[in-house]
Amino acid sequence: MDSQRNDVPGVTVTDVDFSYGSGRAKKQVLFGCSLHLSFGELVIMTGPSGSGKTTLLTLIGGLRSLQLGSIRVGSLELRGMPTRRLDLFRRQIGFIFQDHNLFDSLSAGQTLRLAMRLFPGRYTRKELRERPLEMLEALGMGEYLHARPDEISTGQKQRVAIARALMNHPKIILADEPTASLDKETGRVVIDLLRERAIKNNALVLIVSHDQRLFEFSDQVVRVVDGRVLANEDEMIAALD
Amino acid sequence: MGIGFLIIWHSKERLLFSVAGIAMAVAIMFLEQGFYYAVLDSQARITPLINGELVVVHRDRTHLNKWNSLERAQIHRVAALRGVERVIPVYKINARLYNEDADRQRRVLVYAFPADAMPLKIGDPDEVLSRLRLARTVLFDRRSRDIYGQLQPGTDLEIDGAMYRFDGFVDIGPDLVSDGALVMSEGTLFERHPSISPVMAVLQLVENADPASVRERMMESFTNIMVMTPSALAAREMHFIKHSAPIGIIFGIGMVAGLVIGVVVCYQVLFNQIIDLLPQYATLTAMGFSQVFIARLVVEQALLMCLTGYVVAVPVVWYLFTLLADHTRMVMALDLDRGLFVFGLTVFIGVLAALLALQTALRANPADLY
Repeated sequence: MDSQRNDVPGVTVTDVDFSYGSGRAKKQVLFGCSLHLSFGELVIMTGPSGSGKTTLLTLIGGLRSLQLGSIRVGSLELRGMPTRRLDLFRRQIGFIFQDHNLFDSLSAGQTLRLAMRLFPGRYTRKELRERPLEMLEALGMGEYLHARPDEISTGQKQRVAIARALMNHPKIILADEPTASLDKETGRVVIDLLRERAIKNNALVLIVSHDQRLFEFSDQVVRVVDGRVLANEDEMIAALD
Repeated sequence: MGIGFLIIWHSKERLLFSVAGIAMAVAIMFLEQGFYYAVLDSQARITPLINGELVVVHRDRTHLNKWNSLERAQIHRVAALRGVERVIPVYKINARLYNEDADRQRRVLVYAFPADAMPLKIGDPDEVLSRLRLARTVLFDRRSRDIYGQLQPGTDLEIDGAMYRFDGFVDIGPDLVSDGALVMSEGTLFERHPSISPVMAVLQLVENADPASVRERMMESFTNIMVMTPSALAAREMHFIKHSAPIGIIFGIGMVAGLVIGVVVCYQVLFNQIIDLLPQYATLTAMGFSQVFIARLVVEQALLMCLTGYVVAVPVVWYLFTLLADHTRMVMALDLDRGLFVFGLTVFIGVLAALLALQTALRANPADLY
């Protein structure tokens, strides 16, 4: 791993192993993964299905407990972090899932205001009123402020979900195939917005994707194959062979 | 508007089902409570009607359906005590009233007292006493159950084979044992029951007399009587019923059944709601919302369902109580204390169902969203 990169603030993953199950059913999916992701970067994590990239994503996001190894986010060590602190840590993260997971009963505006409730006291009343609309407009969804999920398309739902993830200016954005259900133009809008967030807010944007078209927008491409992060080009070629 | 409200409001069918189920549970609890108090209140039915500060009964008369009688001579001795203005004996017998419409006899309770003083608040004193002074005149309790036929004032009634003039109505009310009542004067009663003794005596005290002191003097002077205030008599009666008859456990089980139905309905709806929205709850956890927030969401939904069910049930119960009171002539009351008690149980239903369903919401693993 590039030691110079490690000096730049970001996420440092060191010798992470992870297994599912126990006893005879135990299956190891990550083997000594190490990488550094800097704030202000848009990183694509790619690899074959079942390679462990999603597992690594969930570990970085504090959605699973670390078993072996270390993940540091800035100065915070995730290994052994108590549940309550993990909840607070995850508030700094914007999660974008493949399925939008919106509440059918909440309009787009209500969904975004719900996200803002993660930080009570941070927003003024004016911001609570206006920020949801601003965010939706940035994603071309301004006219759907009062629309509920059953009134919009799948692609539009995903845009609302993306807006939800970005509402609180997260330090880290973790996305799983965010453009899969979007058309080319909208997908481009989303990537541009994410990239803008990376630069403007000095946020780390980590996207798990098979879409090679996204590679040109990234600052780094991390390949995960058979539970290992490929460190250099030789390893990548070997993996392809 | 609360998120919980929006979630539950969105599934109208589910909300309707839950409200209906909880309303039924609330109604069951109210009805069981109503029946319980109706039995208690009816057994002590006569006590709020007592027109005096104290009541004297035989010491062995442990409850009002036991008719141990007082000595007539004792009534006069009691009347001589300091502080007592008047002692009014009350007689009680069972009789058979002939129902001309049905051509059958029906059991009826007969109260009798001297026609110069009212021991019971059962009507306008002047009107009642003036009618009772007429020989062989009876007054009928208009709150009796509808089994005695159409009775018209001014007609004759056959009671235990003898004819009496029916001259008007009084207001008493039946109990579990007696379907109806008649009132006659002491003199009219003595015609057929010359050696009858009173079952109780109502004491009207002189102005400013202290009932407690009079009672104490009386208890010291007479060893075979009990002297109580009307409210103490009512409390004693209710205590007797509660401890001698299993009505508490009978109606208590009914209330528990209502509670269980409410919890099951509320839990089932919440559980299904949570299962349908498991990815959404997992997303909230992933975003960093605390378990407390998610718990509040679930409790909010539960309480909304329960409170709506309660509000729907109240007018239905009120109507049912009116119907039952009209039919049984027993006191089926929906008062604030009882309403609050059932309200408290309804809230408990919501909280318990929410706590049970919450486990499912909290087990939603956000890592599974990826």
